[in-house]
Amino acid sequence: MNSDRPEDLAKVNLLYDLCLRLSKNEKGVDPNRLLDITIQTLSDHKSLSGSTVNEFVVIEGIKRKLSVVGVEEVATFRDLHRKLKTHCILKNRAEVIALLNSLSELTVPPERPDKILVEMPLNTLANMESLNLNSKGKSWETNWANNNASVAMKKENLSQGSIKPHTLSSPSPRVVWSEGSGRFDQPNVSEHVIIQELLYSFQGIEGKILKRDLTSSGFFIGHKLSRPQRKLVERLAELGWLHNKLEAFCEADKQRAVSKGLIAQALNTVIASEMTEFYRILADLQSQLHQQTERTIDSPMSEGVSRGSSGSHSSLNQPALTLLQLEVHMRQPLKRLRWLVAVCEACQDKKGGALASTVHGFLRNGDPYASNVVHSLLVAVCKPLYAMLSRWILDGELEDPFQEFFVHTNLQIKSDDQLWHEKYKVRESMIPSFISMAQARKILATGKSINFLHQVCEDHSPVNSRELLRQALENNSAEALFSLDRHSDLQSLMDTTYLEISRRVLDVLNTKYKFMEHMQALRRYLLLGQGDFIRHLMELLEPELRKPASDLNSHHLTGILESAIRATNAQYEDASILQRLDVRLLEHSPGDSGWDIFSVDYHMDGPIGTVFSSCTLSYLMLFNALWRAKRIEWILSVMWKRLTTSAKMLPKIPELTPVLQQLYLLSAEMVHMIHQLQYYFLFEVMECSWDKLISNVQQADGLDDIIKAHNQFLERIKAGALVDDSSEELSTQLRTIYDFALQLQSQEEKLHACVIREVRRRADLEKYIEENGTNNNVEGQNQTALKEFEAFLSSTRVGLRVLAKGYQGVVKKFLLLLASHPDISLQLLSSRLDFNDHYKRHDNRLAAPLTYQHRRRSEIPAPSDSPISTFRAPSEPL
Amino acid sequence: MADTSDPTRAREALALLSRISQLLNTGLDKESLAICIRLCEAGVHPEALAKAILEVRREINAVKNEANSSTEDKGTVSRQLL
Repeated sequence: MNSDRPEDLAKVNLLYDLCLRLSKNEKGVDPNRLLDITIQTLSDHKSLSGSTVNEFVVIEGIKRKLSVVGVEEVATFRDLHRKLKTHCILKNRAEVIALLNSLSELTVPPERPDKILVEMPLNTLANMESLNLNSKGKSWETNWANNNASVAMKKENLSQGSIKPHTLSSPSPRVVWSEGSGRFDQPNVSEHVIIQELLYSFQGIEGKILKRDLTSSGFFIGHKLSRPQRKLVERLAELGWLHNKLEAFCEADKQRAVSKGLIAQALNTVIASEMTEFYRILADLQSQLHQQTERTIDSPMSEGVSRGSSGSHSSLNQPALTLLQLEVHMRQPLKRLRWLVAVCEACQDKKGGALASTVHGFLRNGDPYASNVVHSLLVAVCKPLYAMLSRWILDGELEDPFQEFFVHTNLQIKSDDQLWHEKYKVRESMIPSFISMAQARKILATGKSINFLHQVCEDHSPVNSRELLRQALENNSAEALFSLDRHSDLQSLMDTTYLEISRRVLDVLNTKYKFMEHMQALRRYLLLGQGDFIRHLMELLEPELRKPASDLNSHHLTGILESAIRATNAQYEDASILQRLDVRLLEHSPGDSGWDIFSVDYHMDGPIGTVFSSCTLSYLMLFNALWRAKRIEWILSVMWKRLTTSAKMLPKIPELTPVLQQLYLLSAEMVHMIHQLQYYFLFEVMECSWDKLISNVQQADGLDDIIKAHNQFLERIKAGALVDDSSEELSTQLRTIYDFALQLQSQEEKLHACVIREVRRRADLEKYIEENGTNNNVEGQNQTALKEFEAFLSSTRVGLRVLAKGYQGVVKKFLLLLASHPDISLQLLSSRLDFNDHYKRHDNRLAAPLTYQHRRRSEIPAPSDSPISTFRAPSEPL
Repeated sequence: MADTSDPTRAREALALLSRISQLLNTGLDKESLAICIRLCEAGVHPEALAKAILEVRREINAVKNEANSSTEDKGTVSRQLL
């Protein structure tokens, strides 16, 4: 024994001890001889060293053996084994047990090592812990065998030469095949060998007959076979390819799945468990095949075998496993694997909801068995989705580290104002195909409402149906997500929760945050609903706003606003609303007057800002349009007032009459115009839209409905007040009309001042003449003054004529635009403005739009949602 | 080696294994079993070891039988002689 390594020496010493122990009572036995025998035997079986011991297989074998002896023994053994397992002190526990098993002298023949070997490839099933230790043992053993090469060689030759029948099932599979290879040359390969090869190939292991195709990871037949065998093998060889595909998918995905997310991981796991199931089937077939060989080859022992396993294993009494039987056995697994591979391939680059959609796409394929397979996959895939969904609709929390859920949050948005509009969105690519867009929106709104209540409204009171929903979610499984039944308990509960939480949001907004009051206030102060306030404000602001825009002081204007509030009915408004009223000055360009840049502002922060804050610009535009119209109305009314009050004094100057008549005519035209416009804006547009808004808000189910209704309201009045994009032309005309009114005002002011001066001069002159008498000088002065006045009057007349001409031109154009507008209410406005055909008589073009032909042309495309028609039509739910 | 690291636990494990051994009727006594465990722990393949032990037993039996038959022979011879 020339071993160089200390551990080898230690082993030899141990073996020597063992030999001594075994021969302790015997005289005449030479321990050295026994040691030689042991070492020889060990080196004979060095080929074994590559194989691992599968503890499970060994344990099952022992149990089967013991079951012959009695049930109690089995129980005792199980108990002992369990205890032994908890003692993790033994590194090679399985090996020791296998040794004991091999030495067992029970009636049943020891479990053959090849059984263990045959199951070895099924290492996914097996306990892997001893693998590494074993490989260490292997290296030692090969060394050791090399040291004793001479002895080993001799012995090996011997054992090769004297192959007994049962070595077909001898430890090394290599031996099996080398032994069998003699028969491979004949086309008639034994069915047993083919089955064995097939079973190997199902696990992706190459053999002599079935060669692995390196390019496609499939198998091809690399050996001559008889025709029927070939057919069957060809039919089954696909399984190997499918297995390899799935295994590759599992392996590749295991690395990718970590980054691909929970749903991809779920799919991977369920595929792995399907593989395990497949391996179990293979293991069953393998053991059946093995027992069959045992029976046929070890025929002397077969009696014992059949007796030993009659209790636990009945397959021994079955006829031998044939290729045809194998084909039948594998038919279902083949189908199953095919579907699994199909699903896996389709899902390869997907994640999250998209992956679930893909799997769901396979569900309705018409084949109940395949549907079942896909169904089980889908259930597993939906589990993480279901958990995310539950979390979202119960607590409004998103647990989605891999962006798989169909609701996503924008983390950049920190402010509460944008929580509703911007923070949470539906991620359309991740909506599973079994959830409709409407459902997804409801789900989004449910969680969003919870967050809105918590974060913006600071309302933490519980919602009644939450508990019910929680129970329902717990009772149901992920399956409920994609079940066909849209009216299941879970669905309806989700709907009710959605409704309830939405109503809660509205409730909190209405009671705690006075939503309706704020909306009312917006209408009153920004849309000029509170007439007395606006009028008073305008009067107070007039001297300030005449100034150039650059001279305005917003602080001063705020003071004026407050005094206007105090003086009018606005003072009875709620303090929280009045606090929000403010003055806002727009950016001004040189030449602007205060009127151009002034506007009233309403602070829309807090929860109500969710509805209103996006509309600030609209309100600003509307306010300016209405404010301008109001101002013109006010100017004209002031002018009218002055004309009326001075009417008594003016007839004293007879030459004034034609000028005054011109002035009266033009101002009356303008007053009519502006009154009709104001009526249209304030009644037909504002009131009608407001009425609709109120009814919509009262019917609203959720905040989204209100936001939508409010936006529609704004759109409608913007269109009505001619400030939207489509009526740009009209608003330009309107602006020109306003400009004419302003020009008229300045003309009138000039005239008025001049007339007052003239009246005063004449009065002074009369007085002077009465007191002092007249002379040439005075008369001369009077004559020049009179001439000047006449010249002024005639220039004013010319100015007024030009003004009237220009004004009428613009009005005609405006009326023409209105009359040919598709909106019927604007057509009506046109006919109201020109109720007595005053303008039409002067312009034939105006008559055209009101003819039957023209109207028909313009009516057909008229949208139905013009204020009047919608006001009359039964209001439809939004 | 593992069974030297913690004597009490090693003894328990040995006791358990020896009960299994009895149950399976291996014919190993405690000392032989201990040696076998140590061999297994050292990495000797169990199947090979089992074969070796069976070989040794056969050898011992052969020697014993030889001895017995030789003593019997001697007895008969002596009786014949007597």
